[in-house]
Amino acid sequence: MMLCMDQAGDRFLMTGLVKDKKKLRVCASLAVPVSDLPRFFKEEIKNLPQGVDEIRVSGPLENTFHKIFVVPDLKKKMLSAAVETEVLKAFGAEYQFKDKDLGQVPGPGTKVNRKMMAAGMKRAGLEELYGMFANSRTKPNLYTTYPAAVHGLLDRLEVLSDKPLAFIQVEKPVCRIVVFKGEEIRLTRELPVTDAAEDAENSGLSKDIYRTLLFYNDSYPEERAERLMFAGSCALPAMVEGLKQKTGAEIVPFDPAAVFEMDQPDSGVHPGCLGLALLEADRLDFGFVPFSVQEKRKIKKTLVLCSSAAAGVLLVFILIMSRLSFDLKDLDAFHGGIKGEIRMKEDRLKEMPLEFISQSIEASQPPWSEILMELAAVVPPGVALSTFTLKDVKKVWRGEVTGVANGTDEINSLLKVEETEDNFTRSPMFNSVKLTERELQGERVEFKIIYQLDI
Amino acid sequence: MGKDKTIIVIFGLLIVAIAFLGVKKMGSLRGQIAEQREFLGKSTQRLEYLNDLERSLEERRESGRVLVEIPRAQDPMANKVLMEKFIKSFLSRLGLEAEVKVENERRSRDFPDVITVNEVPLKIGVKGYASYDQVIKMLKEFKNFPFVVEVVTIGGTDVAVPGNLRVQLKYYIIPEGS
Repeated sequence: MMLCMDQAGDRFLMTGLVKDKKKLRVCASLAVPVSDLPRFFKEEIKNLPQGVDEIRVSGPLENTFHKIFVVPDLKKKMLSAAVETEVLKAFGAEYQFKDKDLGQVPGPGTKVNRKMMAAGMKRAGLEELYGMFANSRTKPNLYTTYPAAVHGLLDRLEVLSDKPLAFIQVEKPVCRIVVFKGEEIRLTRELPVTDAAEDAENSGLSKDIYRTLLFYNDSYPEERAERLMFAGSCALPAMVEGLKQKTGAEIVPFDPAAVFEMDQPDSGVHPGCLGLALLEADRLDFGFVPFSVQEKRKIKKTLVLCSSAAAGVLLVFILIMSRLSFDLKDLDAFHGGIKGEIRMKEDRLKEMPLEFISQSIEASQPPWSEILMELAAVVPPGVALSTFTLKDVKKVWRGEVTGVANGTDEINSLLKVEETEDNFTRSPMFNSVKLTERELQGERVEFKIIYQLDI
Repeated sequence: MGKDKTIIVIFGLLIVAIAFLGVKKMGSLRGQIAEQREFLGKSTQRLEYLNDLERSLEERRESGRVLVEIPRAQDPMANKVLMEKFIKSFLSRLGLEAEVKVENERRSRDFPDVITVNEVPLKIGVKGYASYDQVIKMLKEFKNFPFVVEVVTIGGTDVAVPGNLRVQLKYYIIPEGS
């Protein structure tokens, strides 16, 4: 059930509505003193025919303003800034307000102006209103002003037009007058209602209403409130008739049954509440959110955004790390397989040690015959080798030869040593050849050559 | 500072911490993967080498190109004597008179741990030889047995045994039960 609450003076007028097929059905209508609200939420709310899943509230008229400004036709942001300046000038900084563009109007000369309507609620009043729902499990999802709510109702009843309409709700403890012209909320007034019967006789309230209508006529000299609409249990026929005669205005009947279904037709109808029920929360021009709620929502939004970002970052890292872990696991498994295969091969090799040794020896031993034949070939005539040595030093065959070159003279002997060295160097079998010692012994030359084998 | 800014700062720090730890962990995992890939590469190479080796050894076994082992006894001393006698008779068949020194059998380090092979170090000093052909023949004959020549010297003193032609070599033995 949707519970619509309209604060009128020291009371909350409440209407409970449920959506029945396409129409809204009024299933409860009551009035609760503001001071009784905590008790109501604690105890009496259970007595309502259905559970409350949504609450909409309109604040007291005394805490609100509705004003039309005509400002130069500017861009949207500048227009808002201009309206803000006007509101601050007219009402000060204690209001939270919203504006609505009512379209272009002709300005001085060829200029075009823009008509803007602003509606505001006192910040403190809004916070106070929000605080009243501290005991309620369901918090209001819509805060607006009484005229904005009534505007919604009259718009649906299709009674709004270019002819000004004064909507007068006479209900204890206050009588509220709102003058509409099309989309504009032009005037609002709140008057105390003392005793309905007495008032009808002496017309004290009637006089105040009449004065309000005259004030409107003074404020808008080119027009007057041509139509009056009365609602509320205290709007007695005598008062209505008296005002009709005094103002000469047309009385427009208030018939919410065109839009709503009533469980009990004679129960009190609260137009403000009905209007609240008709408003669309997401398309409402004058919906207010208390700063504390805004702050909470902002914190909640920030919290959600930040936690989503952190969760996102965490998720990305988890995904990357899972992928890497899987890769590592796969590699481990693959490596394990290869290791197993290696072990199998090694076991197989253990069965062929002699073959292994044979292969190893074959691969490591130099071709002795070729080496000795090559050695004989590289030694030129007139040179005799004294020693020949070949050693396996860490898988490299290193060798050395010593010998004597015996030429016809010293020069010839030295040349023969050089020839021997050259022959070693040119041989494909030897490499890293180096003549390390060379010593003249008379005409003979003793020498030493070191080399490596290429196998 | 507003509550929302505090929340942003806290979560910012949290994200930075998550990112820091995440990057660190990722780095460690990447390091492990790189290391594992390196190991894998080495293992793959080793497996390829073993496959080739196995194929080659199989071929060798099938073709009969396997060295002949010298008969052995249970007693190490007897083995030494057997070895000395065998080498001497082997050389005398080639017309060479030599002095042979046989050392004690020991575990060979010339082979991978996959197979257990022992070695007997030998030193041969040939007093004289008629020609190079005799030397070449001797060295060729060694190839029919599990001998591996380490040093050959003619006229040199690198091998501690008297003789004109000196050879230092090893005889490989496959121990019983390996």
